Amino acid sequence: MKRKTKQKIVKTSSIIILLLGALIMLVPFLWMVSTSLKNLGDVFKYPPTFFGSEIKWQNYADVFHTIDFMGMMKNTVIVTVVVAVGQLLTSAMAGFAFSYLEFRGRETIFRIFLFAVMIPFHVMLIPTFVIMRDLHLLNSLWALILPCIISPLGAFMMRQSYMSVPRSLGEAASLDGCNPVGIWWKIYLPLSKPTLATLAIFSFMQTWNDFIRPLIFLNSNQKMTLTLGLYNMMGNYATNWGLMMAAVILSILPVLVLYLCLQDFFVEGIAMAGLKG
Amino acid sequence: MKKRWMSLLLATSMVVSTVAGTAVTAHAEEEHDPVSLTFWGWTASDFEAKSIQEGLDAFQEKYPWITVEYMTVPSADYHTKLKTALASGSGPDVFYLDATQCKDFVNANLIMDITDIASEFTANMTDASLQKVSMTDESGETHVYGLDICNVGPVIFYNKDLFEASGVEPMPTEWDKRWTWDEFVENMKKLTKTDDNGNTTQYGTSNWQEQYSLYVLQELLDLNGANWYNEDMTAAENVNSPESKEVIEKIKALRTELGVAPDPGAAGSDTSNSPTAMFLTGQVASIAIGSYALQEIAQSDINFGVGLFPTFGKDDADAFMVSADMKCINKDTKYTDEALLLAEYMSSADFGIPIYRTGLWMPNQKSLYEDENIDQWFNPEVYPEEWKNLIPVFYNAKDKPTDKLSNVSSINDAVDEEMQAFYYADQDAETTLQNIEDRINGILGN
Amino acid sequence: MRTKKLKKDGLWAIFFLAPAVIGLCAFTIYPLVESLHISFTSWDLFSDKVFVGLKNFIDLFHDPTGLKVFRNTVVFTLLAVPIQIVISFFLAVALNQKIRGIRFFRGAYFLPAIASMVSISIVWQWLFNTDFGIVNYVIKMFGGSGVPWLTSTKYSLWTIIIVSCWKGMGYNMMIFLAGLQGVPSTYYEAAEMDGCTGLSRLVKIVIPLIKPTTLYVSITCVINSMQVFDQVMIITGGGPARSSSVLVQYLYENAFDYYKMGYASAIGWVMAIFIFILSVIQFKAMSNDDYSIE
Repeated sequence: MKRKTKQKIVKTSSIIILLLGALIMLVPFLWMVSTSLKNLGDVFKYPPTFFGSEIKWQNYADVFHTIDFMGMMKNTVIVTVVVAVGQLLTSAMAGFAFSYLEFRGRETIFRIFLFAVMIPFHVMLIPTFVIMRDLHLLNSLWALILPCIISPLGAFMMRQSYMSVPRSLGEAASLDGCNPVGIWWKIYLPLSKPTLATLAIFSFMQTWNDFIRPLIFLNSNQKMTLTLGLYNMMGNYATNWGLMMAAVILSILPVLVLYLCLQDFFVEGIAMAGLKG
Repeated sequence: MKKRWMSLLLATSMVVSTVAGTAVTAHAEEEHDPVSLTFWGWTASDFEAKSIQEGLDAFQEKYPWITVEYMTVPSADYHTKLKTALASGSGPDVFYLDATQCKDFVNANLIMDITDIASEFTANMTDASLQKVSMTDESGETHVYGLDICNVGPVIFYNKDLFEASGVEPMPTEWDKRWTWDEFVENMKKLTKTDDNGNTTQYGTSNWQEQYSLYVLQELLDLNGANWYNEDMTAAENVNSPESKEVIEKIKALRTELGVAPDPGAAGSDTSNSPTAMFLTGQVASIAIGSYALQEIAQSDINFGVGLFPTFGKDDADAFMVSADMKCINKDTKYTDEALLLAEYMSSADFGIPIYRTGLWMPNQKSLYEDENIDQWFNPEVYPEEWKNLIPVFYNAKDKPTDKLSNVSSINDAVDEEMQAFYYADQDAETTLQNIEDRINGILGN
Repeated sequence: MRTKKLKKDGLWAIFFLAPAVIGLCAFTIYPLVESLHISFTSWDLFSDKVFVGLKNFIDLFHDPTGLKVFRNTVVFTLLAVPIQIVISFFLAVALNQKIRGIRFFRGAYFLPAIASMVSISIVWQWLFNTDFGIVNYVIKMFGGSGVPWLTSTKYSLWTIIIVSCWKGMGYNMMIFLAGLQGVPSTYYEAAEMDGCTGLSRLVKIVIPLIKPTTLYVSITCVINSMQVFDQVMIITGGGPARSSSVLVQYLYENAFDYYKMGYASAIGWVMAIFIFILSVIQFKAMSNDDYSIE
């Protein structure tokens, strides 16, 4: 009996703490929505109120003609999709080579990949910038895509995933005349779907939210991605908070929708990353 | 099979001959080969970008063989991106350049010397503008590196209703009748209101802690006779002078001791381009800012007036300093003639007058300051009546000391960093100024 | 037979590895070697590189701004990482129970993790506004006085820390939660039999068992914190007076504002080496003899 009441206390107090925490997590978002619907006069009213004197939907419409929001969205989607597909493909292929194929230097090459996982990419920014300049790819989306199209971490994760596939499956197919491409495509790839999903989500989050690379590699407003666009909008419309918040909400919305649809994938993916690492 | 070959050959030859035909006729009509130019500008505001696009459209209509590709680059990174692009051979043919960057770009050998080819145009530019686009080389010869279209100078905008409500006189607009600093402070005190809980509900003035590269700090230093650089702009000297100290302490006091100016955090960050929000919502009664803000302020419902910076009582400060947007030509452009046409068009009265009429820029061509031409651009719907008194002030303006400085980005950052330590972190004025002098000299390689 | 297989696989290996290896060479290994090279030179991106030996590295440790920025980054890491780990661990423990609305809580805590740091930072810059921000409003509501979050050299780094923790917590909580759920329930039952509940169960059973998770979280947190950039650029710009300026920002400025490529590369390498040392220390501190990560 005593233990039960104790458990109850623990549970109730954790719920209270969790609720308080959830409040701290959600209030900024609510305040963001509130500000996005206010006119400039209400934004600078003190003490602040949740609703302004009017609900100003116009802020959202204004976003589209103060910045080229759809253009930025398009650029961001292109980069994100190409990088994700590239990373999945190259990582899955490399992971297969590291786990199924036998060849000289396998361990050495794998170690180099592992080593590459640990290098902060900032160290490589300047030489990458020079490469892009010499290829005349600055201010092109390729400058964002090419350096990210392979993922050493992805290759590592795919290898770990493939290691759990029994070799006999591949060898049996091999005796039936299936070449390694067939084995990879028909046996290994379908079995590694959860890892592929994890990798896709990671790649998506990283590229979609990337800021420093667009900042360095892109020049013109016409090529801008969402994060860079918001940053520059900040420079020009810093105190028009209603407009800024509307733009932020519009930029978060696609990711939010994706998250709500694929919530379990996200959760499992992160759990897997934690356990695998 | 054979038949198909024949028809293909026939079709090809037809295409070739049509192309050749049109090419020939086009040439006969225009006598020009088509030329494609790239043009870079920064994004200061939607309005400016739109004006430029319209200007470029008009230019392409006037010179149909020239097509211009217009690229806008965010202002924060504009000059670094531009320098990189020019130096790696992928730069634009014609581009905007802030006059303070001119020395660095000339040193890096990236801009075309247009002294001879644009002399007709530059003869009509005001003295300040001409000085800003020119550089003197070691032999003492002056070279022109760009054309300029605008003057922007330091002014104070104020809210007439709030001034009246507090019984404060309108701000002076004549150079000889400027308020003294103390008069200014007294009036700003009257305009600062607090509620019962001690919260300030209305501030007298704002934006005085603007960054070094903008309008306020350099202007106030000049007004108080503080000069930070040697004759040929190769070293900093006398930065730590009583005059400099007085200026920066007076700026800081507005926010701290006197409490008549808000924390810049409220008005956006120090580096923001939009410090006007609090002014436009009636939270502050006045704002010290570049005259470009007129365009934005005139669009609002605020009943506003304009005034000049207060004086420190020094007679030798006889004019205020203006900034300039240069149009420069890439040294390696393949189309010098067309690039010059474009640069001249984008600096011409045709292009400028619609923009002058919005208040964003003031003219910089001598002819536009002649009495009979003033009405062409002085738009009474935008310019307050008393702006007329400012016209001679703009005409007689001078250039900024930083215009002839090299490594100006590093110097701006260093000055701002030290000034922030002074404004916000109790670093005293003398240490601040001494640090500034040492750091500028370090950057200039002394 | 064996050699034949090796040879045959060798060709296939080339096929499967070619894209990744070419990419790795072009965009990781070459830039890495080149960056080391640049760090020993004085180079402005346009003229020829001039070899200067270790000068850039020596200069960095004599540059007051460089030292300040380095110090800020380390202080940020030493504060942000433990705060994040402790809070997200306890959140995970609290969520690892049968309570109603678990999906709601999980969603709420994870929400900041999915938005970009750029957008989150813009929002917080508004929330932290001295005169009109909601944070100071709440503080004043409870009788405190407003804090100049963004314009004081005392608070600016704390502002960055708070935002970073707020954003990172949900993600780390998720990882801890996965770790906790990986603990077989038999352990809990056994602990209960021994009368080990509550806090003592947490300390004696749970914490040792999820050590690999904690190690993973702390290493990734340290790596991310040492490379903090986005939130600094947006919320404070490193100011006032560089009180919240960090290494990556200083690297960025030196490289792309001042064209000091050699110096910027040296900053990058010092950062990389420091991250490596910190990772090794954590690894050594947390892994004991009977456990090794594989």
